[in-house]
Amino acid sequence: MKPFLTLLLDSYRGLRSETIFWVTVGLSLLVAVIFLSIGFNDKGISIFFGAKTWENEMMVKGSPLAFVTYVMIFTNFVAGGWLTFIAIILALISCASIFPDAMKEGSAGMLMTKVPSRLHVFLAKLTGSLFFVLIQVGLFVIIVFLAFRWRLGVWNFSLFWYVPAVLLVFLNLYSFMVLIGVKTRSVMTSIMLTMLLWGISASINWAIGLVGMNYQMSQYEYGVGESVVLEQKEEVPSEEDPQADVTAEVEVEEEGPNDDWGSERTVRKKVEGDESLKSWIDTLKLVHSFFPKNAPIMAAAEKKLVMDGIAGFGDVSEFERASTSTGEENEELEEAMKEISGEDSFFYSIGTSCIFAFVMLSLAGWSFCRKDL
Amino acid sequence: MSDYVLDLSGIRKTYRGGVEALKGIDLQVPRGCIYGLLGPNGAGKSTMVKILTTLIRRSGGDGTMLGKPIGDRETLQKVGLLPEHAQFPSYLTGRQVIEFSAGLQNVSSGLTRERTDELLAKVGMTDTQSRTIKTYSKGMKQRIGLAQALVNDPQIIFLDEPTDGVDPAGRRDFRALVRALRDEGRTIFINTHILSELEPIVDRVAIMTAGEILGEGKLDELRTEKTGYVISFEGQLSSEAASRFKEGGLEIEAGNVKLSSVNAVDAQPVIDRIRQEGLVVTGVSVKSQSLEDLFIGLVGGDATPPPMPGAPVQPPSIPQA
Ligand SMILES: Nc1ncnc2c1ncn2[C@@H]1O[C@H](COP(=O)(O)OP(=O)(O)OP(=O)(O)O)[C@@H](O)[C@H]1O
Ligand SMILES: [Mg+2]
Repeated sequence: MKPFLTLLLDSYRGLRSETIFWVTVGLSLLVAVIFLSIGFNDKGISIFFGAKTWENEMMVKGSPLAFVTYVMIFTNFVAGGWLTFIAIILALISCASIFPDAMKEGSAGMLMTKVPSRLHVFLAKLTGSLFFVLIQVGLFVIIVFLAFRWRLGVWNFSLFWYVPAVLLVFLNLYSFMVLIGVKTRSVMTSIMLTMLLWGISASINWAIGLVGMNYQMSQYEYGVGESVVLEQKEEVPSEEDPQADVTAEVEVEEEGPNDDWGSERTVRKKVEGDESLKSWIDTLKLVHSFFPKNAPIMAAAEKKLVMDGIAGFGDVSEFERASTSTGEENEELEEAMKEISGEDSFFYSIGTSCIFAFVMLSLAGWSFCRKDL
Repeated sequence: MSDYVLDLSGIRKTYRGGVEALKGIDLQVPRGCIYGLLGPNGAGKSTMVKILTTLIRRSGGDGTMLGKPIGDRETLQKVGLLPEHAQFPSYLTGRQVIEFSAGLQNVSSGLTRERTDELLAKVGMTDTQSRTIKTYSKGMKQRIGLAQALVNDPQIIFLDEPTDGVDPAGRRDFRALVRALRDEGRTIFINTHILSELEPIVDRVAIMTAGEILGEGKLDELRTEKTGYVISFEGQLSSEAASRFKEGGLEIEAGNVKLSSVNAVDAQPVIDRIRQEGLVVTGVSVKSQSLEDLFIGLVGGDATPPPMPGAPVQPPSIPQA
């Protein structure tokens, strides 16, 4: 145990000695404090602890819009920008040199000729890196948690889902980075290739979403028709096979607030989707299953926040009314989208990500334990 | 169980890329001695130590260290190592490096404190112990490196070029320290090509070149030949005297005549002859063969590393027209 703790302590000292560590900690605090400084008063929304206020009577303290705005600022900028992106990049850069440094001839002579086996050294270094991220994200989320209490008056424990989510995203990329670092012993190469992996993974995820949307759209035909005829659902016999139980569902839109369509009504008809798109999606999803799934993991955390969190926000109906994305049709669309993009398969994302990290770390660990230094 | 702290047979190492660094090394190191592994650059000395301390894996051969097969983790707790080009975490202080090593070797906190103080004093680093490594000079790092190798109270200590960068006073202290360690019953295994370093303290040596051991044994046993009187004089020998000396099997070079005998009686006629020449005899001494002579004799003065296999052979240069 003592050797292991010694290694951990050394990892911590090593991190602490690097400028990037303090840059990361400083930026993290800065972002947290800026978020903390956003608030609502009798006139509208304010930032920098009231130093600057944008007047908006819809968004005064305690209003539903203030509520939604605050949550959106968090999900879009703080979680979506800082946590998902910048914090992870900084953490990766901070930890990039840990393994290549340990394998340098001079330091390996110190580290790996002693009681701890190489596997111990490997695990200690890995644990050290994860601890670093855990503490950093943990502290950050605690500040945000307090900010939610202060500004919105709720203890929103769902925020803490971001801690394992960020940790898992980090682990995914880091496991790959460690593998490259162990293989090449080059910090630069490992950073570059990890960013490349991230880019590829994000592109595939984005492509799945895009193709998915097209597929979804190909499943409906839009038209303009008479309300009288189309008020009820009707069976449209299929031309090729009359016996087939094909139901083309024809729906009628309620007249919306948007009067662009005039007095006429939009008609949406469900048809057979474009199957070539479907096979594209399947292929992309298959490919993506071999990549770390960062966006889906962060999306899962966000969903936890919004879904579970609503109860914490008190009046659900207020939130729903204020929220723009809870229309019935949107819900249906979202369901379909989820089915296509696999977004709802929470365990799939987590599971394949864990497998990815495990495989990468096994390969890295194996190489680390066997390599001549 | 073997009586030797190190008992190796047929250790081979071929690096990736095909460099055959060790070509079947057999070596026995008895307990409680200072053992010198000598060899020119690229002989395979460091490779040998790296194999014994698990930094690299051997390609073949077998052996035991402290009675356990090489590579055994538990055994490493009783081993100290000052690696070649040692690099300690630059953010640690000298003291912390020693404590770090102790922590890795599972030494209790109380003992660590005690031994660290003691070792810092021994290597003369007490005053500079709280400065970070990156502010140290080369020799200072080497001193700390030596201290960290001893903090776990090892039975066998591997020192790879230990006095690299250490000043003369430091070297003298180092020799005293190594002797003291031996007197405590430890075995010290030193890799070096600085022969003068080793000569006064070493008990046994092995001379290695190109991955093979050419000679091994007690220093005295290795150098029985080639000792004799050296008579120094001022002036120029007549050519007649010089040719007579040469006929008699003596060596003449720049004001010295060397005999291959250690018998004082054999030296007298040579002294007489030099004085007859009207020259002044400035010194008479018994010259024993230095480690360097021994080394050059065995290695053949060829201290250049073996070429890499596959490296292009330099073609004879063609004079430009
Ligand atoms: N990592 C490596 N990969 C390939 N060849 C290597 C490697 N390390 C050493 N060698 C080769 O193995 C041979 C022995 O090297 P080694 O470092 O053991 O020599 P040495 O006796 O310690 O020399 P020196 O006195 O210069 O320290 C050399 O020819 C060297 O080129
Ligand atoms: Mg060497």
